Amino acid sequence: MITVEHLTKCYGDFVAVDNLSFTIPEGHVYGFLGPNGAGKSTTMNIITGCLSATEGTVNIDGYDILEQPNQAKRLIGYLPEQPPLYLNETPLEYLHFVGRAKGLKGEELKQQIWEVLEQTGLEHRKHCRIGALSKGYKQRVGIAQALLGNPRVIILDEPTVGLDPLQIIEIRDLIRELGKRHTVIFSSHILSEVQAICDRVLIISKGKLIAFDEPSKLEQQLLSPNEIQLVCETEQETVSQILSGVANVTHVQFSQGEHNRTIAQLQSDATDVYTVSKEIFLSFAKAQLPLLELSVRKANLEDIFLELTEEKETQTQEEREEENHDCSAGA
Amino acid sequence: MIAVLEHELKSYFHTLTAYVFGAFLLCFIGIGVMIYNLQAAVSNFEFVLSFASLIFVVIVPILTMRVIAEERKQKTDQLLYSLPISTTHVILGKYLALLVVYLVPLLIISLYPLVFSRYEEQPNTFTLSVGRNPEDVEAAQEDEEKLAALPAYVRVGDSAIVYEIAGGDYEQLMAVSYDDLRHKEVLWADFGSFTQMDVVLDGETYTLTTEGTKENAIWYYGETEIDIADIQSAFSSLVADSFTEEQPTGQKEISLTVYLEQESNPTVQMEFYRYDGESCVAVVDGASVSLVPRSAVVDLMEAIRSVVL
Repeated sequence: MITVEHLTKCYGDFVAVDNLSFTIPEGHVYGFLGPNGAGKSTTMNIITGCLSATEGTVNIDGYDILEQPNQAKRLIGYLPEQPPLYLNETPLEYLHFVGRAKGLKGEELKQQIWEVLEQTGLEHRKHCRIGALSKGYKQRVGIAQALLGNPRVIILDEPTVGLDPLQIIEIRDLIRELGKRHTVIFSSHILSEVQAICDRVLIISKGKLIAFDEPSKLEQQLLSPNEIQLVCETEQETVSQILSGVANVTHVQFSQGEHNRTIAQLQSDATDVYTVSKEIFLSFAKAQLPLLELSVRKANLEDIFLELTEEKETQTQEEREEENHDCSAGA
Repeated sequence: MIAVLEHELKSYFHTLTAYVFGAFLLCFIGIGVMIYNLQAAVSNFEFVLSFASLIFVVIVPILTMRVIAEERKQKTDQLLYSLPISTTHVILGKYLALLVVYLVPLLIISLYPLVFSRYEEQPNTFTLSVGRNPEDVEAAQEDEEKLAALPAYVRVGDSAIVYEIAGGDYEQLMAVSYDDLRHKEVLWADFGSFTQMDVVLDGETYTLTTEGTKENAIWYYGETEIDIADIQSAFSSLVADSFTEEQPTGQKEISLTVYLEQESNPTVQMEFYRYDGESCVAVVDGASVSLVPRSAVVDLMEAIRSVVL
């Protein structure tokens, strides 16, 4: 559906996007993840034709964004980071203009405006001035605008920034809903969000693609050992003694909790971390020591994200190049 | 393009922009009309237009400078870029919208000259209608003296006032012809406004020049100062005996080109041809004008000969 090849964008000496290549097939929700300044917005602007690339091509369903911009742009609905709204107009007037510009007319235009208003929950605000709407509603008007013309790809740049938790949940639900009928690409620097609604994640750092896979696969791919934390009401030595009898425990770290409680954090190299936790539970039960807490922490996207992005920062230029190759191959 | 045009027009007419612009333009033109038409009692609108052209230097940038900048400020330019319309069409749509905003007050202004055209200045031509009562004329047909004494009536233009004039005046009025109204002098310019005179006489060309101005002008032939009095008096006696349009057939006596201190008609070309023993045909700028006494032409030739020889 979308093919990006060797995309590079320079602002003077600063390289915002560095030789980025990926292909996004039709369907699903794609998350575009990266820290601030990673080049997410720049990439999205280039894909939608708002910016021109220094090098490289963007191809939307066979149409080059530079060669056949009108055909390509007809397939895309785009919500930039800051919703492009005319604050003096009502959502109805605004959507009317966008619809006309997208080539809709008469009955079809009315029908579509009505549909997107319903989809984004704006029916009751359609006659308010956009400038007077709350941020969440402005965001919805922006999304409604992107939905007009029934584009096959919907690109949303940080759609949940600055919204309250309830609105964030609503917008996420909306994105999930849209993913059933359109290809949705949205960018975020919030991991939990991406994890919650995306089928695939693209992680980008310093203008380079460093990972592109399903969230669960990314977790598996990461070689971070599984961690177990337990809390019990005995001294360290006793706990240490019991744990030494458990197989597959590689590293234990103790700390003192309140009321003479001992907190132990242990790592295991077992393929299934739950066999270790089961064994721990049985060992403590045998010793008639109650476990106050036993929790298993698996590696999550956050760890992957931090690891992947921080790793890049500490490595030298040469190694980075190599690593990037590996990741692309892995993806 | 149509979508952008519609949208821009809507925004101009939903906000104050179009109205303030229109009001400002109308106000300024109004001041011009006040000064150049109403107070000066002139119906010509062109003066106002030249006065108003100055204001466009200020008012057009005020109207147009925010067209793109405002989109950028509101970040809505990104929307325009991501929509399937080319930049050319966006600009064209915006331009046409501004044109409409500009044409609306202009449409009102275009009514002003229409109003003023009703108060056109009176032309400098007057029509006199002169006539006698046909019944009186019939009654007096037999008696010639009575006919001559019959009163006549005169009206100026479309005026409702009719003047009665005496029979004698009527006869005189009816005897007036075009030639009676014409200048009798071949050249009726002031001799003081001559700056140079080229004379062709007996196949030779002589150039007389002046220095100084008007009555104090000193005439030179080549380097020598000359007395022009004889030529001047000969010139003033070149008066028509009668007018003619006949092509000259006789021998050319003299031709003169006079340079005048006038912007509209800087040179006059005069030629004199023999007509018969008594008179010569005067040709001015290629067209036969009148018959002048031969003696006057000879006088002029003599006066010039005495100066140049």
